[in-house]
Amino acid sequence: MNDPHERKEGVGEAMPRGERLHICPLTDRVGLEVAGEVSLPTHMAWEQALERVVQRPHDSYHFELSALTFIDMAGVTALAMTARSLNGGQRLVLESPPPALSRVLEMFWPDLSAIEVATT
Amino acid sequence: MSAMTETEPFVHPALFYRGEQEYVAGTVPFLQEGLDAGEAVAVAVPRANLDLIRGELGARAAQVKLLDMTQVGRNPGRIIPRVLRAFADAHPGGRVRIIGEPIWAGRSATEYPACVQHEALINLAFQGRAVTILCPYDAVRLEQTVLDDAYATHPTIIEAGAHDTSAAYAPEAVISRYNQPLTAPADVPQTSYTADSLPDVRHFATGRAAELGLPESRLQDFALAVAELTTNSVVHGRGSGALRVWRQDDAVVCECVTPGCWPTRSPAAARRRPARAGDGGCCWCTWSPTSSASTPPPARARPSTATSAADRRRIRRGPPAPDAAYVRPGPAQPWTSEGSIHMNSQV
Repeated sequence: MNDPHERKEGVGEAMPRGERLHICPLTDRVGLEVAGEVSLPTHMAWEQALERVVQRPHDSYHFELSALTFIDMAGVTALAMTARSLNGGQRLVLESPPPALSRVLEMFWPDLSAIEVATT
Repeated sequence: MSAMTETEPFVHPALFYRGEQEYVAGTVPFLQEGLDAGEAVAVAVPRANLDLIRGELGARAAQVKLLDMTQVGRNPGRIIPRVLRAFADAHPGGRVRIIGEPIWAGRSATEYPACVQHEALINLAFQGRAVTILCPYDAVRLEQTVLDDAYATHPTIIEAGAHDTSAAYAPEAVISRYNQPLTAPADVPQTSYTADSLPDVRHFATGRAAELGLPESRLQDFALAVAELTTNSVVHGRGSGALRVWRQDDAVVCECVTPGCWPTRSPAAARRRPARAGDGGCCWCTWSPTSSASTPPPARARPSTATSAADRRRIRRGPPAPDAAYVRPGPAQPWTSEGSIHMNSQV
């Protein structure tokens, strides 16, 4: 998965304070490892990463989220909108998402079949 | 009666009842009349009254949607979008008939302002709709001030079988009168934030809430609510805001204020279902208190700091329904309350 466009994604020095968002490709399956937090200062990086998911379709696209410390409503909304834009058989697999992310998805997008949550 | 109410298809009477007999007399024929006319009929009232109506309707109860208002309406801010509008919108064909009892003896003093506003906003939310909503009021157990408010929120009052036009009907004035800022202890410090410090202020608020006794299980919900309020300040306000966190009785309260005034919006806008999640607009956003550590936070319009033990049990038993933040426009003042969060700190 050595796509040059999918190397390290981060806000780095652009963000003076608070937490950063780190996004990098997974090595053993198609998808991204996401660490840090998705909030207003990191929305752009998050949405850009999601755009590339749509541009490079696979049957399943994994998000390893065990190091995601926080995601706000706009961040979850962007994820849900990405899932909605997928073609029939495609899906997003969320691995170890923070409980709040699962809660928000259940609350607002209970019928979104293109997102699967892997709890292992 | 004004020319407008003569042509207004929406009908919104209050029923002042004294005892079960008057309750049945005021509600059951009303429902049967609707069924006879082929109307869609629903009842959302507290459990004991629901049982009473169900018993009186007999076999016809199956034709009526029956809801326990203490559950579906525990957050007054959700009654219009999730109960009344949800039912009315699902039956677009003919007239829809609903009994809604959102105010009962036992609603806390802190919930009550949102209940009154709910009653007032019904008039705006259903304007022009072929809908009848009858609101029973327990004239024996409710305070006189509550009954006085019902005169302001209902164009018609039914009492002892007589229908009277309310001379005191003034829903917009009621909404404004009950739109009051929160009162915090004088020594609570205020923390300012801008876009850059949103994560910091969220960590600060969550840390304070933990110190003040909010259980671990609620902290993620709390953090999410804080993020939404503070982000709103920055994105839709003037780029900054100030936050305070304090303890009030058995609840943790977090308030976010934004300098400047919001543009005027229809107060009813707050009770419409958003087109999609996240379309909150400028708001007061209140997350509820609950003593339960195991259920999602039931959203409420106002702090329920004096939640009774019975109330807590009801909350715990409540369905794990999706709980959106309660949203209503802030008052037009030199500052605007971006919102507040109230969470019960007891497990």
